[in-house]
Amino acid sequence: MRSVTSGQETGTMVVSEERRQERQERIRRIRRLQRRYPVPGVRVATEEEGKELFDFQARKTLGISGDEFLRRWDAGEYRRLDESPEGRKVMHLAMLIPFARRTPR
Amino acid sequence: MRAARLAKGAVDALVGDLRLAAGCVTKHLLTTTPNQYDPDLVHAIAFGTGAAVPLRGVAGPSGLLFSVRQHYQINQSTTVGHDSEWQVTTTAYDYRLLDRDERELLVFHWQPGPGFHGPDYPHLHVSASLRARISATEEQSLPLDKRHVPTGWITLADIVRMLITEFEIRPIVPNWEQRLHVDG
Repeated sequence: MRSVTSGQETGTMVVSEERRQERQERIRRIRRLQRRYPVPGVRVATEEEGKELFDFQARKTLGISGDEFLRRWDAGEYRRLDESPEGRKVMHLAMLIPFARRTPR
Repeated sequence: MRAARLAKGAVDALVGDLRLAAGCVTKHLLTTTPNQYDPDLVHAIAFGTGAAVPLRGVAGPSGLLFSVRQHYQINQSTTVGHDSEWQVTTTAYDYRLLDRDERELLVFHWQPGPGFHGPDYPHLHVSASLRARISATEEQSLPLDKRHVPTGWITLADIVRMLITEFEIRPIVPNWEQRLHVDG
């Protein structure tokens, strides 16, 4: 009787430990989700996703990689643009630079 | 790190309001930059992958696309005798209404500072041209897409309201007027 009770207690402890770990994992998952989706309908990009987003848009908009756009941007190659839909595409893309790299204010 | 934690409420309020407005006409998520609570950085927000999203009209697909790109910064304001407060300020925006081929129709810009072209005041580009009679025998073309038509400060809610009331874009939530009022 004693050993059975002991066995049950041990079993309960094992289950409790598993439940505790499951609960902690659930909490970690929720916290990860809260970091990615702090507000309903808004997703926070990871640094890698931000770079991918920028690269995708640079290729789509100007046919060059995101890195190449940043190189030209930093070199001042886009300082003299026409005020036209084509010129504005560059500025439109430049609005996404904070996705590509940390942009000090 | 502590600053970022304190700024969280203000940032979440701003992006929450933007999502409330955008969510009146599209189910597409907004995406913000990494480290979105860091007060030392410029942050951006855009739809999903940065692309323009399709808009649905009251009678089916409208054929129009909508793009949002906005910058914000986190500022700490300190008043004597009070705790410091964190405020989030929009520092640039680019709202676009495009046709299905992604050609500009209306572009609402505010991109102040030396990094961007154009004037520092909020303005509008219209992809249309006026024919102005300038004398008894002459007319002159005035392309509006290259001109900066001044506007006041335009919020995303203003644009979404315009899409619904002027361009017959179908609101996808019944309480859209209330949601847009929150933002502005």
